[in-house]
Amino acid sequence: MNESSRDINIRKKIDAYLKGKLREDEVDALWEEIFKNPRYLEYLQTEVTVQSIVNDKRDSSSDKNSSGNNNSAAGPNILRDRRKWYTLAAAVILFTTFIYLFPKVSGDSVRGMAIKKIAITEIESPDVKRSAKQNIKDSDSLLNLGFDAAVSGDMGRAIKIFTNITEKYKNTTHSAEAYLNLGILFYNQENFDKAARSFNKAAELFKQNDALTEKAWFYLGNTYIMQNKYNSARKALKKTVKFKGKHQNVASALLEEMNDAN
Amino acid sequence: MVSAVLEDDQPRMNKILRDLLPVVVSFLKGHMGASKEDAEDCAQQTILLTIDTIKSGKIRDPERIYYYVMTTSKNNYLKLVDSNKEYHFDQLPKDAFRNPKQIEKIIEKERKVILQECMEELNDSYREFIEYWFENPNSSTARVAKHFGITLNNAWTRKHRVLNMLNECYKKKNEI
Repeated sequence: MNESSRDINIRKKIDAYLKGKLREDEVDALWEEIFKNPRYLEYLQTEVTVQSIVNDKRDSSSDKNSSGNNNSAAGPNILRDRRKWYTLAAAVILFTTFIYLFPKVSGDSVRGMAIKKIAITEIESPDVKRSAKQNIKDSDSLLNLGFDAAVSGDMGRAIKIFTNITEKYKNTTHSAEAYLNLGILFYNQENFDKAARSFNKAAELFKQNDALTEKAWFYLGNTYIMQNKYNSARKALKKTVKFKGKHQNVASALLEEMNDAN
Repeated sequence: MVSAVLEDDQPRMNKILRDLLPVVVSFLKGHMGASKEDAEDCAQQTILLTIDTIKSGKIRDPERIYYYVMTTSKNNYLKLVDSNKEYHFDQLPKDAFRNPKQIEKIIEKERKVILQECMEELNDSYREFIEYWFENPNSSTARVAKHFGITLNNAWTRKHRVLNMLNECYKKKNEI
């Protein structure tokens, strides 16, 4: 690959990175390129900054528009809203028909897009604030120990510790975090049956933390893809998208890919 | 980098480290969610450790030295986060490592002000193009190309051209 096409390739990857369309391993590979060629950092900084300038501009103009709209008559807005709802309903019907008519997926391209390994940094550790003068609970310490074991590469010990938490602290947030962590470790060991059970349990137990619930559904979706269970994967990824969180873009891209692969 | 350190080529080493340090800091801030101070501390530690490792002849594959720097900086930061848990929990972002907006931590205020001026100086068609691109981050490049009636390749070329213009403009204004 010559310098210029390599350059274009890296810039396209930077674009995909900022749109959240790269897998974890691709993000690492991109950063390695930036380490090798620090001039790409300049490009990344310009791109992120321009995005932020455009967002600021859009936000300030939408503020102005919304205050302007408050003064206008209600009638046309209702009509516009109705039209919007009809369009949305039509889109939903079309989408549902599409899914119903084409339920089978040719999996290679979809599996190619699914996560290969989940970064260890995604392991959950306790959320304790010293400033709040909370006592660190046993379950916090255990989660920390599990995190340490996973970060230092002792996966067997990490699995034992997280399993211990799920048994000792049933139906608590700590047990949900432990299930999520177990799911990540099993996923990386390609033990997808156990990963699916763990992510399912985590998604079921997280009740008040949207970011973690979204994460559990997202990884569950990926696990189902690796198991070729595409209908279940679709359900899990649709739930992910609903949270409009960190994994929304990748989940949408996976859903699109599943439709395209029909 | 490995040969510069082993040959004790000071000017070359200084240039490499001057270029590398901001990359490590940006990586830790933008990718790992580190604060500015933590990122700067860890980046310095990483560079020192890397130089020591190279000098002691422990680098087996000089080709992957940048991968080594990246991984070492990541590990240094994880260790710091782990040790902070006991003493400085209040300083840890709740959603460290998973905040989609954390890449914005690499934005520098001064750069933003200058780039804003540079964007205003772009001609209308370039400004319209780049604003459309960033206003529709979820649109495919094909959709952007269709909107402007150009080919896919031309859409990429135009985006890179505009960003290069903005970069050059930033550099000029920053020098003044």
